[in-house]
Amino acid sequence: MSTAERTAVAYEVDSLGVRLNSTDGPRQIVRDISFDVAPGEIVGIVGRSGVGKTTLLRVLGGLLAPSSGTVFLGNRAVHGPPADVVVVFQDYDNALLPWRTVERNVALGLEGRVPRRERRSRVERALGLVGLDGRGKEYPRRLSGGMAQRVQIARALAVQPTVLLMDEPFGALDALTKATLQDVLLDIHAQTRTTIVFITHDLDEAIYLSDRVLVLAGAPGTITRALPTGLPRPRDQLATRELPGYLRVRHQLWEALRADHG
Amino acid sequence: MVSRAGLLVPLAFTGAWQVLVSTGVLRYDYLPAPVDVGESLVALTASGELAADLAHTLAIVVFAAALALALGGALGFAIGSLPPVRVHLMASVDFLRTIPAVALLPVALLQFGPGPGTELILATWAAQWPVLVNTAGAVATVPARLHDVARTLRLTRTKKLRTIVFPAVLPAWLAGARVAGMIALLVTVVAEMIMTPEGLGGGLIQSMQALDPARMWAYALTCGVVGAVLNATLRRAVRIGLPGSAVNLDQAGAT
Repeated sequence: MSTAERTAVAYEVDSLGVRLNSTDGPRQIVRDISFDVAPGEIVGIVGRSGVGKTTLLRVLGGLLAPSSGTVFLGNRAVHGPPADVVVVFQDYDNALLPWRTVERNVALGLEGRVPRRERRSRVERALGLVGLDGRGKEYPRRLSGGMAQRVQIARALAVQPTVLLMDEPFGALDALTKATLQDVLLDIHAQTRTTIVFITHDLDEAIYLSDRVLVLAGAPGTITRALPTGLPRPRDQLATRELPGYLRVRHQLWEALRADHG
Repeated sequence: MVSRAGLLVPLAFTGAWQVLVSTGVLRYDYLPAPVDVGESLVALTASGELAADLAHTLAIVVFAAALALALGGALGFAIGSLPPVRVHLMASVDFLRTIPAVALLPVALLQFGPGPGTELILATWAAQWPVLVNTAGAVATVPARLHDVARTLRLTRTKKLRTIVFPAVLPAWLAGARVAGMIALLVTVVAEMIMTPEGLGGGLIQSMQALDPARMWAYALTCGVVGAVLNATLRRAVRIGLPGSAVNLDQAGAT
């Protein structure tokens, strides 16, 4: 593939495999994974627990080196965390610095890189994007789970990444908070056009947010299905989920996951 | 701090002690009445002896605790963050820190001779262990997730140390400081008893040899007050240094 073609994709994953050392010797976690992600696309990866979703996301984020295959971001191979990719983790409790205020948490990735004045305006903008205006002086401990996760998303947005990788970002939240944050994320996407790849075990979340849903299944895990959702944007928690197209995709994904006896 | 109700028991105890001794119910050759102890305390203060002894002991305790904080902190940090250092040093640390520091007193006395320098070495030696162990443990248990965060935000090594590791370790280090202060006081007083005529420990031993129990009790009481004040001061310093940190409250409360 030529360089010109490569720049048309955000991510290009080819024949990716990961072996990790476990207590009983090396174990193949995922194998033979190939897919592309287009710039500005939202891709959801679903799969059962333990199928290797987090492993795959860590490889995309440069936090884990693959054992075989290649990962390209734009036209550059990923070796270590790339400059314009940020990972958002599920456990906001551990991922935020409890001794820093919200705004200083959000500024973490900018310190020493961006002049003070610009830093301030970027932090303010990031907090605005996640709906936390005016909460900058509070400490994470005093925030609810949903608010804390917004802080983590804001911290990622502040560095203005081209790709946002999210590891079960709303997995620890209650249903209503989850729905709110899904819409916050879609708003952010509409405003920033950031490419988003996220993993989830919630099928409905995957369909609702994504342009395309990938099913990771088997042991070792591999991608067994890739379904474009074809749903119109902006999306709506009620109307979108009642569309025939939504139900059709849901049906197909369920069948793909049911076939995977984990 | 100390509640008013908490003062009742010691006051009642002292009152009873005074009554029992002055009515002759309690008859021991070397048990003074609280009033005698008070008189001794006043006399010692007036002559300036107590102030000099107190200054001597306190200077060594504070210096030893500060050295222990620096030494234990640095060693603990190295052991916690560098696996090769941990592999090579941890067995030695676990052995050395279990030797009662007072058991090394005769060794130090012969090696370095009597004097404040030897007191300082011994007190620092004993006080560094809780700081070291606390720090090493805290460095090793910085959540793995925070290391992920540092990587995905591409923080440099020094930036990560400064913004993530140091603040995460600080509460445990300071909790170690409190224990270090108390241990430094204990070891210093014992060392003074054995090797020097100076300090609170020296005063205690001299009073004992002079068969002056009231004076001896006055020194013992002063040691108690120094310990209480030292503990309260360090606790306060930790609280002011780390406002609202739950980690701080948990760990400080536990030690």
